[in-house]
Amino acid sequence: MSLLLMGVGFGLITASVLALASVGLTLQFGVTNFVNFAYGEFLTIGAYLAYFFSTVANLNIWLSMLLAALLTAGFSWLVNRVVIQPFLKRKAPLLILLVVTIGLSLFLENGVQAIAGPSFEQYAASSGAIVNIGPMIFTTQQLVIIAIAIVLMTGVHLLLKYTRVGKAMRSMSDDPDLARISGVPIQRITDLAWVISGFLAGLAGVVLAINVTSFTPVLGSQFLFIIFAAVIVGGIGRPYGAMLGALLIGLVTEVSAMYIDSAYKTVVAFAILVIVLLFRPQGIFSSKGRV
Amino acid sequence: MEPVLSVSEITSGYGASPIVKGVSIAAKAASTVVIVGPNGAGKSTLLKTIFGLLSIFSGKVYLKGEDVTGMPPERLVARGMGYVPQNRNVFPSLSVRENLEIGAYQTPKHTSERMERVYLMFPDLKKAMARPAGTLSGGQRNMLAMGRALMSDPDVLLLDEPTAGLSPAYTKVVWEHIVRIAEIGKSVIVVEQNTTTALTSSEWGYVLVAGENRDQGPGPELLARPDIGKMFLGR
Repeated sequence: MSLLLMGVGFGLITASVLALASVGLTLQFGVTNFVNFAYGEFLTIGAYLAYFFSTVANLNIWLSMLLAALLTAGFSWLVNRVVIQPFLKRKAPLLILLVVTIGLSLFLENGVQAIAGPSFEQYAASSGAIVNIGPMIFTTQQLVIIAIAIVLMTGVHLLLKYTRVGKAMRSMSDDPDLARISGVPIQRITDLAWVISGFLAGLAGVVLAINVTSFTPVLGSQFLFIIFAAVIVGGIGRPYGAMLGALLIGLVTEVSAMYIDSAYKTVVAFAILVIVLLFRPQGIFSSKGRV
Repeated sequence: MEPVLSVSEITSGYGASPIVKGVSIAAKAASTVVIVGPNGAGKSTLLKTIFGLLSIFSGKVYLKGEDVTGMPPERLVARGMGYVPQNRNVFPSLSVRENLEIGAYQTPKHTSERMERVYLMFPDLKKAMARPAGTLSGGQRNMLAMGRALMSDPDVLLLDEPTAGLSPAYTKVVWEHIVRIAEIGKSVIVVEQNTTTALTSSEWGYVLVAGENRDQGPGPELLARPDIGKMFLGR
């Protein structure tokens, strides 16, 4: 029993990292209706920016994380405006947009490698004191990561449910043409979705790098398929689904690692994905609208 | 009285081929104008063109005397034009209340008062305010779509076949609402297949055939004419 609860503890940390990343990806998908395959590199950029701020500029890791997330948000906005929008204005088919984001992914990953080098990096910050909650063991750093995820997920919920722009995002997710007809400024809302998506990716990249302790330029791309699993399990384009998918995949993969070789964690994540797709191909949250 | 909306010799269509050819229409405040014609006459295309959803090859659109030709929909909404499409006219996952709030996106002041006015006009919507719009019946969806368009307090409301697929009883109810919307000072332009009901209830009618103005006049007078009756009603 204590082994199980210990796994649940680790699962909560993984779920927190995954929730930040998957909600960011699904939010952007919900509004724009195409998958950004370069999203993993947004995480990598966040992680390396925080590394620069914390190691080179000697800033506190949490302040570095915030700055990195803000810059990644700006970078995400730029990618939308400079790379994606020109294709959308030419009414490029979906397949072309996917190829564009795959190309961008390769460009960014190699760009980070060219600048930062291929070697392993690590934040200098201490992981803090050990905290025992029953049989679950956390470091204070991990508890902060869980708290960040809870605060951000609550923030996303409040944004979508109670604000004008949040409702506009949901309306665009339902029907972008009708949203435009109703007076929703779709360009501005799309920009905002990319900014929020980039911000969450930046944060997720940093907390992922903290969680795995050392990282390379493939940090984000290696994690992207787990993010996809959480997003698809929850129902693509549905933030609440992504939160649930993150929790499910985070908990099951970490609990399974208590009983079988932890090298199979990714296999377990994909087993969950296959099972959900077999019985509910539209995802767990299919009954609700996207975003 | 100056028309609130004036469309002058509009030519437009999809791609390079024109569907609407040199059509002119006008609508005064507090009036109901109906556009009728056979299938493929270009009625819906005309409404989409006026609302900036299709590019205009030639001609002009004036709203309250201002040239708004080619202006995008979100700016037209802010200037006082509303449009209700025939299909997919509600956000299914948003609640009825949220659908109405989206309608007020460009004009967020006085949202609560406007919502109360909409609920007063469509009491069914108030009862269903927390329900996802996707669970409403076809008739209720049309009411919601009209209510959402009214949330921006438009001067001109464009309705594309608001009674399509509805029972005769519901068609009558929808037209009662259209007349009431005109009575509160709005100019309502309706594209309609149901010629008899539409011309009976409207002050002015335009007949479009093959993308061109064929005729116009007071609705009931047009309906009484043998040639119009023959064209639409097989009389």
